[in-house]
Amino acid sequence: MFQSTLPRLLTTGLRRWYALLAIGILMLVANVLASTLESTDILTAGQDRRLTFQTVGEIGRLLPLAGVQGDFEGVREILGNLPINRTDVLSVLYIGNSQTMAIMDARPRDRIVAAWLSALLSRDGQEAFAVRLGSEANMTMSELLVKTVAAAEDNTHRADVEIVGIVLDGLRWVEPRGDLIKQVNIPFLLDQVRQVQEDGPYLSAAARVLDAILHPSEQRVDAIGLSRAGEDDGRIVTWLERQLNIQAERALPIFRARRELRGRINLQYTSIRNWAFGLTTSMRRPIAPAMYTVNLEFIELTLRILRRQGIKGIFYLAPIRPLEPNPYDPRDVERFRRDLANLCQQYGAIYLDYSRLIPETLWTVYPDTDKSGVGGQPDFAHFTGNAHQLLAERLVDDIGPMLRNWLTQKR
Amino acid sequence: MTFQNLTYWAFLPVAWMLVSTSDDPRRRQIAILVLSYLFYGSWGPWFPVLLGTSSALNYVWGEIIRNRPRVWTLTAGLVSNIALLGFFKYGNVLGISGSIFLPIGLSFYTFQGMSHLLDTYRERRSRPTLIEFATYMAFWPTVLMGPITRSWEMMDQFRRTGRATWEDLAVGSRRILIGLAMKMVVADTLANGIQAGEGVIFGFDRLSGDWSGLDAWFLAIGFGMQLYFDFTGYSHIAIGSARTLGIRVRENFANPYLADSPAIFWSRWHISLSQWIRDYLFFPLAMALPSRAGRYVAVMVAMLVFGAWHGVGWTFLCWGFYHGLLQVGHRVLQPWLPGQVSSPRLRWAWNVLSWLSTYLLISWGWILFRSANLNQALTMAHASLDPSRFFSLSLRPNYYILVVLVTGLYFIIAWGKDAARGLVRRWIPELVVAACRTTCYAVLLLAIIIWSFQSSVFVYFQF
Repeated sequence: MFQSTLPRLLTTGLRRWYALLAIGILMLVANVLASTLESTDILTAGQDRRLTFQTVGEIGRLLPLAGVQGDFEGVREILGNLPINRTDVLSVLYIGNSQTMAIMDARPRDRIVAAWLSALLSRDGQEAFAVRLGSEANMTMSELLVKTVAAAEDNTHRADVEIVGIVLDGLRWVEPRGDLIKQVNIPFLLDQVRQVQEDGPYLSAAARVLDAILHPSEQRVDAIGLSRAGEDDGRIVTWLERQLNIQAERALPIFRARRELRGRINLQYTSIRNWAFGLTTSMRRPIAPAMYTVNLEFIELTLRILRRQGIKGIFYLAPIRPLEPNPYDPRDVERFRRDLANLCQQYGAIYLDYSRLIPETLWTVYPDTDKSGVGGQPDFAHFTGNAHQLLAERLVDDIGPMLRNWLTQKR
Repeated sequence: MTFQNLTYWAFLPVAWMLVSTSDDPRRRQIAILVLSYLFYGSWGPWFPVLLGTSSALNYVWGEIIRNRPRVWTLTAGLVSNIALLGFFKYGNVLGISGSIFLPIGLSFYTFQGMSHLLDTYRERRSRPTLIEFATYMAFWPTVLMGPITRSWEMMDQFRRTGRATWEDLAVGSRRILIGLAMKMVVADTLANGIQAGEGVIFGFDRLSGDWSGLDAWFLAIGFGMQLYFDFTGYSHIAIGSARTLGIRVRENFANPYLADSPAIFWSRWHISLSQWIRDYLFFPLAMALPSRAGRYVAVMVAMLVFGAWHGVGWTFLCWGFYHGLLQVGHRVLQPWLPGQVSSPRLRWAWNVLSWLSTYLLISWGWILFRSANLNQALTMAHASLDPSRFFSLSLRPNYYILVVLVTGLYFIIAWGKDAARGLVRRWIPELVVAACRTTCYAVLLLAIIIWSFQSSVFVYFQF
């Protein structure tokens, strides 16, 4: 009996449990592999491994840059880092994309623009200017609006001056990061936008985008909707779901590495896409008209908020690499130069054109070892430490007297 | 709690142990009922109250109809259901229910209740007890989004003695895994984009009035695929969850985009709802109006109800009307279409043409379904047919690539699945097939885990 039962038991038992066992073993292997994963800065890896994201302790903050949809804490950081508004100090908020905080081939004494600005403005030893960095990598104009509103929210910490560097690539996107939106005081943001919509023609494209982002209906629920649903709404199920996720991340490396793996998959996809379609960093990429319209409206809303809040606005068109071919359509550059200047004039902000400021020698190329498939190609997004210094010096030359004048007025 | 939550992943094994370890049907029914109310109650404390009220109402009306099968008793029962559904679903628009929002699943379980009344009237008697009927209405795999089941097909299964088999568990688990991957990996990526702000949501809700023809078509096709993977994924999980308990629920999708006529599409898309409308609305209407024109009227009414079931917006009504027109148009044109083409080559070409025209017409309809309002629908519809600005692109390149990839893969798998299965059976040893299959499941599980940190809710939750 035993002889006949054992093989049957083995075969039927194996057949029943085989798949489960095999999947279990494969998942175990995946877990082990996930536990050995080193944390990669997906953003840096996707651009250039020589790129150093810098910040200087006393003037800014360490920007968390992990993952494609990572933990961006921009708004809270802005509020936390803005000093208490004193009558003898001019509080300057400096906002831009990664160009303002990343240095190519960083050397030990290199500093980012904001650090140079702080140092140059305080040359006479007076701590009269408090420069804070509020930049975000790949910042969209909707995020600029969010940051501007955040900077104006708290009267005791509000900025006096906002310097904004806009790159044309910032007009290619419109979506703000969900994690950033989660930290916004949404009623305050909506109230501010509602008020400034009355200050000029109704900006329908931006309003529509904001509405869709901030009021995702049941039908239009997206990642932001889910993250909102995941907030503490006091329900046991929500608490349980969060606890299960926390425990799963503690116990299983594969859960812990979810963002990391997703980011790497995206990077791999981009690399394959670029290879398959022969995409290079120099390929001309005109800005879609719809994107241009909505982003320009976001800039206009930002300018209206600055004016209404009494914050001085200084907008500059960020340096463009003087190399041909390049990804920017000359018609887009010309149109944006004209539109930004007009908007600044209309709302009493300072407009500066630095598009031709940085010479070709201060930009570099991606190293051949780059893993994202752009090795040996020119980097149109970031420049060297010397260029940061050059940009800061030019800013101080152009706006230094104005800043001092505003400080005097404030005092 | 929804199917892609970790809470559900923890809930399901516990539920399985409580339900499947009992031979006693009564104990099993009570276990399913309690678990179902717990599951549904996780959406809000008053949701089970509404479900309980609807269940009690339909049970009582069912008993009344059984004892007095008159038109007025049936009408009264149906009206009470329609009133309940209408209050929550259309009350907002009509200004009756104020700011009360639609309880999740109401449209689905109300239709289940109505089908019970109609079947009882037609003497298709399942004679459920109160507990059986409450279990049928609240059955957790189907309560949120269907498939819409019938009482007679569920009662036999609830009353069955014996436990779920290993095969039930294996098949159910496999379908849950496939469903989760369809939803979390494919549908959510289409919705949100490869990177945030590149998906269908972005295209429909963020762009304003600047769609080119290609944008409109890619958004329509992309949304069609998103909806298919979202809802099919959900249906797989629902059917799989029920199957792990040994309960078989009717299928909801059968490769709808391979249909080569609008009528065939509707026999493959959201099957449980289209069969409901066919059985309880279209057939009675078609019998009452036996002329050709009468049948067309029946089709139009059925499709308008289909549209209105999704909501009171003009976009849904237009979508239903559009599909009614497609079906009537196809029937009207039928006599002029070539019936049997003798040449195999010509027949193949004709089949491809039929399929392609059906697919494009169905996809175009998603513009009406997905647009936020009629104005947007008209703008996008106009853009999709306007040759003057057909080729300019407003969306990120990744979106176009993604739609081509997903659509291409869908058709390759849908068309090639059976042929590939035959080849595999013939040429590849069973052990290798089993190993490959297991590896595929492991990869799917891995993908689900990786994509799980940013999953969205199911699209059909709103209905």
